[in-house]
Amino acid sequence: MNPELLAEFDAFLARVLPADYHERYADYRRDEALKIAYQAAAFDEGWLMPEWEGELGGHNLTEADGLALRIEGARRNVPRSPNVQGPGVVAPALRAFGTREQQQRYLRPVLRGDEWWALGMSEPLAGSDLASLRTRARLDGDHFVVDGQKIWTTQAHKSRWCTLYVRTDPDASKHAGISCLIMDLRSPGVDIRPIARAAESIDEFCEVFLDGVRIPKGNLLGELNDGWRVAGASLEHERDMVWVNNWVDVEHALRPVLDRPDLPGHVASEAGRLLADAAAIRFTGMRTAIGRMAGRSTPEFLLLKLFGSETAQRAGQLALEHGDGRADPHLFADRMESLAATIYGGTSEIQRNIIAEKVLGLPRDR
Amino acid sequence: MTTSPSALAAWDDLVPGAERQELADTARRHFAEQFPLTGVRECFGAGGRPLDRWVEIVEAGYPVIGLPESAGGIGGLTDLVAVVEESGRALLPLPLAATAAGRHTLIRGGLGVPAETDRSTALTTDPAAGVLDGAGAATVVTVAVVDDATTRVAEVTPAGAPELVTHVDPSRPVARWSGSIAEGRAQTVDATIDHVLAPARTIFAADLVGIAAGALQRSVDHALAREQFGRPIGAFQAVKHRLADHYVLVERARSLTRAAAVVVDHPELDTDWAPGVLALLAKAAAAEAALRITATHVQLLGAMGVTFEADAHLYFRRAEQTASVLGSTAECQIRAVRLMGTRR
Ligand SMILES: Cc1cc2nc3c(=O)[nH]c(=O)nc-3n(C[C@H](O)[C@H](O)[C@H](O)COP(=O)(O)OP(=O)(O)OC[C@H]3O[C@@H](n4cnc5c(N)ncnc54)[C@H](O)[C@@H]3O)c2cc1C
Repeated sequence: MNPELLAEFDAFLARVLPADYHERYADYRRDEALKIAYQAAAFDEGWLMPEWEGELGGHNLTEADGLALRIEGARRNVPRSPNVQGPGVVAPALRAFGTREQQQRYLRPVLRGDEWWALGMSEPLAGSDLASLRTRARLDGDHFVVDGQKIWTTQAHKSRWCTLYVRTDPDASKHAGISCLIMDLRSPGVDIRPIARAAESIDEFCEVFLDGVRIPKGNLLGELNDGWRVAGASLEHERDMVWVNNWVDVEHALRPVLDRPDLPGHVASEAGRLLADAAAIRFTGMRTAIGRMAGRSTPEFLLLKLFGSETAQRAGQLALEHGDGRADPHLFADRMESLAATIYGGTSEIQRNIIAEKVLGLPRDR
Repeated sequence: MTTSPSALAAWDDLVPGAERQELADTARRHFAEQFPLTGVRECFGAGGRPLDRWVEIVEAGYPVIGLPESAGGIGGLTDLVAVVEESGRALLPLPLAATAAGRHTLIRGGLGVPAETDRSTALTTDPAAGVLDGAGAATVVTVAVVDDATTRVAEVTPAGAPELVTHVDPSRPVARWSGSIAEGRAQTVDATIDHVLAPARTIFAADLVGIAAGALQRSVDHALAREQFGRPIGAFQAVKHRLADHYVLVERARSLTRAAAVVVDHPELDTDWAPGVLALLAKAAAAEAALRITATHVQLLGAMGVTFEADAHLYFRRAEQTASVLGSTAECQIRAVRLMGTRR
């Protein structure tokens, strides 16, 4: 990556972040107003999606340079998007599957953060077994009419739009009858109820009840009954950010522990193991990115979510027990958040199944 | 122009290109065809190891990979670790890893390569405790701490036949010489012992990654073939999930080993760790992977796993024999933390 570009990025950060941002990062990292302002500024000046074109918050970088810039950003602790799934999941899905009209209507505001999005996938009876979802949509003239319920829908109450996964063909096999609809969360028949969280560090989530909600046919994202592919592909896009953030978070958690001069041997050994884990997340992530760009198969990609999220948990535990501020509320908040991270996005148990089946070729569950 | 350490192109060697992949594939076929596990079993007999076949390894050119061109070398440490991983997978009963570790340490010590390149070399930081895979070595490289920032590297010529400690792994015994040892060339370098040992630890890490990957593959094969309760045992999550975790352990160690090799070849990329730390982490990770995976392999075979006939104990013995060379997992991890803690 060209050093002038990095210097330009640093100048941008110096301009938009508070002067004491790095010293007081622990406080700023939960500052929602700052996150909102940062996302808009990063979009306007082309640093949000470095490999995308200028009108879409980009700098037209190659995939390799774009990733390098994101890594540099993560290492500088740039504010993360307050509605991560917007730019992280929805925007790439719109770009991959959306019609021209859909892209024109939705892309800019989701990237800039002007409109927030929610992901309507999980249901009370369809968690890990997402493909068993029951929320139904039937066609009525030029509208879909939707009945059912979603749950754990992050930020639904603060979002304008939702990618809603619904059953459009009840007779097809469970993966084949699902479609993705773009739902206006202000539509009549949508009832959103926030769920009380165990700690504030966990993103706010909601129950979403759907009763005869009418969604225009033109709001179908991707092909009819091809929703399973849209779901899979849109989660793929977050792939690089997840390991980059896990790596940076683990290094962050470890720093105060490493700086303690009097670490007992067994604690130092665990800290060393985590030092290895952090570096291994980084280099395994880089292996998958380099391999992918060279057109190689990169099965090790499938271990990153499991390994990254479980490592972050162990690092959080070590920091809480042996870091400098042992009763630091930030550390507890991180630790609580890390417990959620092995549940959302596919639990650790499901990740192990995926690795065993897709990489090692072991028999499928049932 | 300076390269940013985040630039992906700088780390291209984390993924083998076509040439290195070809080298590794060729080595894998060579070891599988010419050195099947029956040869490892034969080491339990009176004849011991097939040291007379070392010449085949020399002829294949493996021991010079990664050496300076002036010494007839070719490629880098990243190429060497790709081949050593294959020799680990095959449980090669010949001292390729030890020789490579010894020679790269000599270079690190500013002593160049040994005069006699057709014979094997070995390495130790504690001559009294013995030398892993030292039998047959023309010379042994010793490394000793002078102080925190200085390290002494010497080349010694052992006299007479060593006593071989074979109780763990007769295909990779520890050699001990009781007689006097003549010291040859020696040099003191301004570097921590961990910096000096970085290539050697990386090489042994590659060997351990190979052992771990070989045992994992055998576990998977068995989990698919053996049926109980009407299903392959690999259909049970207790087995599946353990193997998935072992896959993570192998790839974790492999990523670290390749990264440690990359920074030996390109020291300018080693900006985020104290010198030698990545190799410590790689060695720690690889030893852990090999120990855990080879033990699980025994477990997954059931009673068959504790027979002489099954190959599982060969992998387990090799892992146990090699895991603690140049520091156990815990020792390497603690050392890495101390080096990182004193850094700033
Ligand atoms: C903070 C947070 C935010 C979330 N945000 C969203 C969101 O925005 N949109 C959305 O759609 N969903 C969201 N989710 C939901 C998330 O995707 C689900 O929680 C997840 O898929 C697991 O489903 P579940 O909670 O129903 O657990 P279950 O599927 O009931 O699992 C319970 C336990 O059983 C285990 N288990 C289940 N199946 C198997 C199996 N086959 N083998 C072994 N073990 C198994 C699981 O691993 C888990 O430990 C969020 C969750 C959290 C915690």
